[in-house]
Amino acid sequence: MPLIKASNVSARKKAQPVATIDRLAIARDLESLDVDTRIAAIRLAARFGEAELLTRHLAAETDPVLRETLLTSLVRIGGVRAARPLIALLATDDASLRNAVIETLQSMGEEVLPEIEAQLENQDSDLRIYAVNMLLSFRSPRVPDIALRVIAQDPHVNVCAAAVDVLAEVGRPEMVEALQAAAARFSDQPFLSFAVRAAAKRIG
Amino acid sequence: MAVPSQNVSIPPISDEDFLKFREYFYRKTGIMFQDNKRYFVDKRIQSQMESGGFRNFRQYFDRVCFQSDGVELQALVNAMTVNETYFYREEYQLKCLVQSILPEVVKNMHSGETIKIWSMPCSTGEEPYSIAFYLLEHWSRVDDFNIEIVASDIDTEVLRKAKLGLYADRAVQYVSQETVGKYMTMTRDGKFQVIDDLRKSIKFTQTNIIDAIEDRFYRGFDVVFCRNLLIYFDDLSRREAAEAIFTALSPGGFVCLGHSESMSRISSLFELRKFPEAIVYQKPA
Repeated sequence: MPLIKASNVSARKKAQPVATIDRLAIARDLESLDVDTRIAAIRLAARFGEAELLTRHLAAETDPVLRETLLTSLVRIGGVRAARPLIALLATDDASLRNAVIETLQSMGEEVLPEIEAQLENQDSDLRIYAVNMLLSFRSPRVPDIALRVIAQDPHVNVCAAAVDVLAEVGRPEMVEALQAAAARFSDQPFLSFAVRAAAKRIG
Repeated sequence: MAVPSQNVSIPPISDEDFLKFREYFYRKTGIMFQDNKRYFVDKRIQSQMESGGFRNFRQYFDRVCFQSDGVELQALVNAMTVNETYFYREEYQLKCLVQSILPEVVKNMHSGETIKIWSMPCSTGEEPYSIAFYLLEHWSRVDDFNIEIVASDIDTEVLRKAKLGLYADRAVQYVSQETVGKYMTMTRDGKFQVIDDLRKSIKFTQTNIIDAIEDRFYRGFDVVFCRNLLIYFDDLSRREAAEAIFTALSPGGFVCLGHSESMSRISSLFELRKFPEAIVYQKPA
């Protein structure tokens, strides 16, 4: 019979208890040149909820396949713990990474909405625009009111324009007045008036 | 006079409890039950509650979540997983294994080296035994190499059955009588049992594919059969399973999925390989 009994090395009956796994080795393995070692380390780090470690590595990881694995792991960790370090990456100059981070945050569900909402106070208008653009994906009943607050308060026309687009999708008829007020606030920006008219027509 | 059995009235599973259970089970196993499976899920939870003598869902669910040895959770996993299969299912992939995949795997190997094959999930054993039968019957180089077959499942009850290797005639209906005669014996009650030598040749293990701690010992496989598992997972769990398979494979190793499953829609980790017999996926060398 040429078939042999599988060795114990290939598959032990029981994995070791969690406590015996060397967590320091995970961080070291993330730096390995070997892709298999890095993927295994990413999966173990996710199992331990090491969102910050993974996000730090995400910024340094150049292999697109491993980036995908990192993002999958961060979605699995989910919640505020994964969202906070990811949000910090929104400021990156790497457009591909930034877009991947945005998609990942959007897939994390409503529980990370407060973290996104907090970015509406960020001094960087680009970050505020990203935050507004992400709102629709959360399908939360709070989204229209958040967007309404943006068009009433935000000093940057492009941030307001992004919020107008959100309201065009999920706004309510009573919000038309606030939209028109936003257009008036930026009366020297005809494109915003145009966007407001389109939004008002849709929801009014 | 017979003593009447104690009838424990099992209350229905509320919507809230169903959602709570679904989320928990998903986090533990990667298996997501959609609303259309509600009846199936409710019936099995109630059956587990009844056999354990639990009077309400909360009491039962607390045991499932917090029991230190995980026995109740494992029983629930066993009840929830689907295990219907038969020998030589999707035979074209077995043909592909012997006619295209293995010749490529051994191209740079020497006689006497080891080929590792992982059947996961193996259910009640039909797949790993089919692989063994097929290799013995249809691969001319089977004697040139040591072949390790590891067969794993999350369900301990199916693993017990797989090790026993006992099947009704329906399960072996697509295997030739000659092959059955070589590798199985008929029991007194008309069932077929895989011969001892072959049963001992396959290593059966329990594991959860999406748990990075459990699966970290599964490495260096040349071929993984992962058929009809991913269809029970949501997108996130599918990606995690793909990553687990990727790390389990040697560079250049192959994965065979079920006919309705596509790795291309799940992950970019693998390359598509079109062989004459089947489409499979390959870890880049």
